[in-house]
Amino acid sequence: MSLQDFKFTRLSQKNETKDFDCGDNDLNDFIRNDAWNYQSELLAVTYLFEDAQGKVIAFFSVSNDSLKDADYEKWNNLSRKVSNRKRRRDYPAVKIGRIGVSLDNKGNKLGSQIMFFIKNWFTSENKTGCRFVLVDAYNKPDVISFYQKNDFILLTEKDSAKKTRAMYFDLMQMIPAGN
Amino acid sequence: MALPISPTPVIRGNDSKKFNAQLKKSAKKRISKKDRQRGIELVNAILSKATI
Repeated sequence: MSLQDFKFTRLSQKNETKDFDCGDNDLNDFIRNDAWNYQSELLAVTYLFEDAQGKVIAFFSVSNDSLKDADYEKWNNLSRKVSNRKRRRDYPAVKIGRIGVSLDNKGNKLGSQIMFFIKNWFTSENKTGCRFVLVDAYNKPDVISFYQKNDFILLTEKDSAKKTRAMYFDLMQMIPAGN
Repeated sequence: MALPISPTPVIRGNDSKKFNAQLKKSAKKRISKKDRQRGIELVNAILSKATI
């Protein structure tokens, strides 16, 4: 089964999301009750994959974010003449706020296909710069493992006891060598 | 209510050190031209029948 088999659409108030079930209460709550509020307030945009009957089989929500490195200069041998402002580095990024695949479609690797789609989408015909994909992954072994299999890396150990863990993927990897 | 979507925290110290070392590694780990082409074709196929 491929993502190309489904219709890709931006969430609207017409979409029926109340029946979506991916088996996770937080994800279900988000798509059923919160996604439209985030979108109407311009905080996150949710995209859906729907089957021919208009049933939502998967979704993801994205928003602008940045990865801020306060100690960039320490590890990059910057000249002392470089201003303090430049010693810190802010990388533009996209954050995946949520991603979910319906229980009916578990095991079809649609989650990884969506990751591959997002990585390619955000590095083709960009209107703005975007260096990283960020995600706050649920702090569960299967979820962390999913993102690691998709080449995401844990950003810090400071959140190891929290509900979510910050992870990143460097979009530079999506540009073939020599391009 | 679901967990909020919050901005990514600033990294510093050892996290910054590990991040910069990793960045140097990932700069060398590039997708192949064949896989990139497959990715672009996937994007185009999905967007060709999208309503966004």
